[in-house]
Amino acid sequence: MIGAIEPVVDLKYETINAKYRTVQMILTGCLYMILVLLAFFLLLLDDILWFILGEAIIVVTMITNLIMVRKAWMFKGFALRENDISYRSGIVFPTVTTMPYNRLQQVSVKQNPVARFFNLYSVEVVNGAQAIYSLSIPGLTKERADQIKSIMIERMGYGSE
Amino acid sequence: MAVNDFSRPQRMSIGAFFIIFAKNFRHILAPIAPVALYKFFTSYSDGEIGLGEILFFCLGATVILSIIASFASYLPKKFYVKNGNLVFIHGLINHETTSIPLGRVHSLRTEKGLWFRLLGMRGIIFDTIATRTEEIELILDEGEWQSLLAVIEKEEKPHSLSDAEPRQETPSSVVHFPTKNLLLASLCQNHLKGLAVLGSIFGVAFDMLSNFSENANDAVAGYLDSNFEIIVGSPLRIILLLGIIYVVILILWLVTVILRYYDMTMRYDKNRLTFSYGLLTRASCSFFYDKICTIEIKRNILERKFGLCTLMLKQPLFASAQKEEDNMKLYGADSSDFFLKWWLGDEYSKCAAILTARSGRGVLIHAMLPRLGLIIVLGIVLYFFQLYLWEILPGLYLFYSLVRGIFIMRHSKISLRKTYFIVNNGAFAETVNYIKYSNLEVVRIRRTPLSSRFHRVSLELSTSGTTFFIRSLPEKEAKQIYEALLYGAEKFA
Repeated sequence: MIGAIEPVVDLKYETINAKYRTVQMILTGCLYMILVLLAFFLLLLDDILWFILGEAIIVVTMITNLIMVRKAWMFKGFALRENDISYRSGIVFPTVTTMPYNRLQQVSVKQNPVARFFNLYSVEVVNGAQAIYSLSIPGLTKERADQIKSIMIERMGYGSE
Repeated sequence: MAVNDFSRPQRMSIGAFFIIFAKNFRHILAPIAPVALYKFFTSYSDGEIGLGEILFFCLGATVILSIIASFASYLPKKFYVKNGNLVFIHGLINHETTSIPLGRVHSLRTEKGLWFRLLGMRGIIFDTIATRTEEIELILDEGEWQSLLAVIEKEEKPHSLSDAEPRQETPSSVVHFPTKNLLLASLCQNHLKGLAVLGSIFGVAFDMLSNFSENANDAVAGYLDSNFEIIVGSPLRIILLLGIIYVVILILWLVTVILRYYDMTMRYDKNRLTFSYGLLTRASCSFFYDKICTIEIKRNILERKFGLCTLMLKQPLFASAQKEEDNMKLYGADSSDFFLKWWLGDEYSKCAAILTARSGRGVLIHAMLPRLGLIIVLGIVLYFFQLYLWEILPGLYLFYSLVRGIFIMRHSKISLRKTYFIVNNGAFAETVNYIKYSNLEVVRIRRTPLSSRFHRVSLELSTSGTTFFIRSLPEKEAKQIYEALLYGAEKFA
């Protein structure tokens, strides 16, 4: 459950639930559908070429974005160690963020309507930093989210819930 | 009266619903009322609709919307206390369960407005030191409030971060900062800061002139227009004019510093520094030993030459200190050793560097990039208008950016000691930041698309009051530093 104290950059990260990739794809798809519909206003222009060009750009961007969503999901992961939690994300600028448990201020378990449909949760931790003041781990099952929350509260030094 | 121990999830009492309703009613009525008034004045004259009907629809719609919003806000909210944690369940669409350890509660704010007093309720807001977080507000009656206070007092555990031994109380001492050093240090600063003061004075004067007479601005503009040749007739006059402006700026800057920091006195003991300063208005501020998160020491070329420095004591930017300006800035003789000994311990200077990493050329490019765009655009525009001689301006600016970038690159480094670490940065003036490991809130390592080729990465560190970006560090050293920052540098010694 909690990794030994091995170097954070060589940690084995726990991957995000595969359903989360579907959630992200649905949300991305919905956003682009709205853009596709809005592009119909280009028909008001005299030249239909603008409409075709607009729709083509949106579709190409959507396909690229959906591929990136998949790649981003593959890279995302988290790892719990003795004293801290690390979260890995980013494709162009891969980033690892680590927060010591003893600096955390709040732990929340969240669920938005789309994630609710897939029975997924996210854990958000907040610290007192001036920048990077929160960290959100998405795509967790109820059990795993509660488990992570309990571990963190316990490690914060205030006993588990 | 049965004492509530808040051990089970519970909603706030029905009085809370009415408070929420009153708040929602006020918020919803605010946008509806102007629309209703507009409708009244446009339709009433046409005889379409009466005042009573408009009032009925307006109030009816507000009440219905307020009831819906209040239920949506009230029903999902539940709270309980378990194992020293306040658990708050909320959100109708985005369901959320937030846990705050009671030991992390920094302060409890209470609200008792008119509606609260009428219904015998009290609004309680839980503040933690988290800088940006959702506000948790409970609306409780007096009995519940007293019970909750008792539970908080019972469940609250000592803060786990107070790992340091409580420092012994000692008699306080007083230090006076001589005005001569203050003036000398002020003269070593970038005086162009006085431009802001000059600008504001001109702004106020221009505003007063405009209020005095509408023709006054035209008269000034006409005078400047007709006498422009006399004022700036030759290069010598331009230099003289610039010299006068510089002297004015310098005087303004000195006056500002004296007004603010004149007769600075510091009273200190092992736990606290208290400063009092100011010529016309005496201000004072206190810094507690365990609240300081960074000591920043800035020395430019002049300050180094005259043995001066600008020292900043930084504390968390929350609640009482929301602005960067609230941090204490000390101009004067180099007293950094005293403050560092007080904060880091007498042996601080004997701690050898355990791990050190310097930034590479990536920092130079990063510092120049934003300016390069402007230089290129300016160069193209001047070339387009065939102003070839003026191309010297973007050239000079490019040279300035390059020199600045080189200084930034030379200064940028991180060095880890046994109990603290140092982050060096700054452009023309070198800034040295001292931070304790226990103040570190978060560490981030970031690769760029060029990292695989050049093996350089960036580190981002944040405390509760400061954030540092150290770019273009060698990947191997950066990884070691990342680890050492989290688990102490001693194991790398």
